[in-house]
Amino acid sequence: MKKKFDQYAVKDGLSISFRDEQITLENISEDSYVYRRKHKDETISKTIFSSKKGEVKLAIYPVRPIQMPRQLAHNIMVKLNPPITLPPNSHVTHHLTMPIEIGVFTISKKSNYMIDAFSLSFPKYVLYGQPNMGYICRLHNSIMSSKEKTMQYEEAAVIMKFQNKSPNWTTVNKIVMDAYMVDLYLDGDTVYLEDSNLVIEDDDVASLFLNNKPPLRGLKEVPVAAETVKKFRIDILERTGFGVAGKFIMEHGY
Amino acid sequence: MDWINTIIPGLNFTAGQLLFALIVIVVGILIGRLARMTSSRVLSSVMSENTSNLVQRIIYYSTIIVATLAALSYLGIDFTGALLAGGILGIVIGFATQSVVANLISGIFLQIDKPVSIGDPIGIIDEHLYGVILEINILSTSIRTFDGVNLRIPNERLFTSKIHNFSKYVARRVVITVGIAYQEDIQNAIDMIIKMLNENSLVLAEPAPLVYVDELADSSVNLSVRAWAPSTVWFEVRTQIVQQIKNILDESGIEIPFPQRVLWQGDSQA
Repeated sequence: MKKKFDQYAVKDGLSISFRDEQITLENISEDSYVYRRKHKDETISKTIFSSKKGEVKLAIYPVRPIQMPRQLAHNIMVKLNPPITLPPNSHVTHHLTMPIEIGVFTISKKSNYMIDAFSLSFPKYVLYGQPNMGYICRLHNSIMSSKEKTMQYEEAAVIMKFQNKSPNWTTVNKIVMDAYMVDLYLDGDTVYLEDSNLVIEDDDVASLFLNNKPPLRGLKEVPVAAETVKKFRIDILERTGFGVAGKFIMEHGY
Repeated sequence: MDWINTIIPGLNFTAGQLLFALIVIVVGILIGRLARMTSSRVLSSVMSENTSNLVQRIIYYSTIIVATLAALSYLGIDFTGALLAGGILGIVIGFATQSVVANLISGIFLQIDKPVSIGDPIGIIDEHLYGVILEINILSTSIRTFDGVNLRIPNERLFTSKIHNFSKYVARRVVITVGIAYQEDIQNAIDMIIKMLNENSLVLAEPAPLVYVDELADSSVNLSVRAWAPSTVWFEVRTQIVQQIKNILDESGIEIPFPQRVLWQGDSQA
């Protein structure tokens, strides 16, 4: 089966579908195209863009799940089903999943631009912590397993190393991460979260580390989306003076 | 420097002293400029441009005034009379500008205490005013009311009022009371409302929405619907939920009763 996370030449009649979402391009004048995305009987969005002499391409890649239905949160909470219980001073690796969205980009030699994003899953949100000092997080329920198992185009595979450094037995119910930290990797149409590990510090606090490297050998970082993410991180650095760390401290419980 | 003594009797200083006094004033101006530049960098990130400019000017001119007074004092000019006159003038000006000073002080405390920030949707309860903070200046604060009117409120009134800041916390609770008729199946109505809330993307899954019988009222069984939403979409969620509750209760044939009273007419043959 031809992979769908790819770059496409802009041409009349281009059609790509992701379950109920149908993406089409229509040539309306010499260099202008209309982008449409239909969801069942409803046309959700349309954008006109130009492509002179084939300079522009359309790219479709997985993106961090913070665009839909709008940018309400930049944190993700993965609830583990079932929760995992760890003995003192132990470590174990398990497979779980996290949500992704699908981004549509127009790309030229110099830069790229996201014209649309959509999700095949129904987004729900939760509050992590208290209203006065907590975070709104995109919620995802993940089945824990010893083997990789994802819903294609909807989830990314996560190979999580759990490490309990505390002297007590502990149960991990959820993992919270900052989506600004997240890098995604591709193997065909299968999406992976970067190499990651969760360290239980004590009975209340855990730290999630995202290690800026592929979780498996041979995986390639998502090309166009990665550039957008890096540009976004530079924007944050310039605006706040702080970089995006590869560590998220879960201080409101796990 | 006898000519000085002829202009202002009692003054007697050398050309060197005068030169030194001038140097003190020039150094004061330079320090003032340096202080203004430094404060510009520091203040621009913590307060609005207008307020920052005003504070910079105050710092600049205060430095020059202090340097000038020091220089004149060095030359032997006696300020006792001027201070007495200035003190009386200060009292007069103080009374005249009482509200201005109160607003100035409140403006400074608004910057320090930060009960509101630019862009916050707020409600000033005492004034029955609701809107978004546009600008916090040293004397007044500009608010764009929700009906699109620009409102300038003196800082003293803002600072001493009860302020509801609707975006201070990340999540807010929506509370709605809905009455259903006494003959309806309460658990069925609760289950349907909970299902509707769970299907609304913007209603938070945690804290979980809650629906319970709140009151056995005169005309209806009142259900309290409580759902949390991100503060940024609270109003949208509230309006959606109210309409959706009405729709699902209508679709299920569950009656939302209006206030009613049963009248018993006495038996005419009795």
